[in-house]
Amino acid sequence: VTAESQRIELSVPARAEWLFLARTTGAAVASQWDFTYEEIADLRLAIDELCLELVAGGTERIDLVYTFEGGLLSVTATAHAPDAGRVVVAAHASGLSSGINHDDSLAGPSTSDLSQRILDALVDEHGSGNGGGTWSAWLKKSRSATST
Amino acid sequence: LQDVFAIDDRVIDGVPTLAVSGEIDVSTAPALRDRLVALALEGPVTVVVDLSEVTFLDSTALGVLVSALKRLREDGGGLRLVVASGSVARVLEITGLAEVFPIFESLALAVTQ
Repeated sequence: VTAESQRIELSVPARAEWLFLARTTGAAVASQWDFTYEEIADLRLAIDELCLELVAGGTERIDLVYTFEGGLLSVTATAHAPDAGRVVVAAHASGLSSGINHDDSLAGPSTSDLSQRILDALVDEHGSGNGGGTWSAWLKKSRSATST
Repeated sequence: LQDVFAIDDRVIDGVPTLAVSGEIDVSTAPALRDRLVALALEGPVTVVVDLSEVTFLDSTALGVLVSALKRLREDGGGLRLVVASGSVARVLEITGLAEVFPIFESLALAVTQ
């Protein structure tokens, strides 16, 4: 982890067991930047959901950048892989529910639907896109006026 | 840095109960899925999943619970959740799943319902 002014960078293996480090770091920097307890909890979950898009397939690492400026925390997670676009599709389709959810006629919200609902509810803005052999997902969340 | 994930598998008053603690995410949710699948294979059964000691729960965990609910109901059983912590309740609320699962404030209520 490197810190310079209001910017923190973190690179983690793109594997499920390291996802906690991405969200825990996000919670730590949000605390450092005086977000409230509830906002920190929201960010912890939102960053997890952000990285879920990238944790699958052939990518090796996820590079995260946490920046804080003008009361706004931004998090960008970037996966480097030749087939990064396909990686994301795989992540969304790879239901952990395999073995249980054997009947699509009973379909409820998918994991990716749930992830989008969570991000929509918890952050101000979020999005994702690919280009140049990378796939990035990002979010922005503003600090409340009551934060000090 | 991470609250340790664990599942305590018990039968209380004849009701299979999974008391989960710690963080349920993409790395730990498969263990919960496996326990639920094993219970579902035993036949029609109503399972209680106690989330009162869960400190973190993401969409992969929710996906496992939704799938288990469907499977168990399809077989004539059910799935009840015990939810105490604010963070778990909040995730269920914002995803709309608070209206989907039978949710109880305590394990005692969930197993006696």
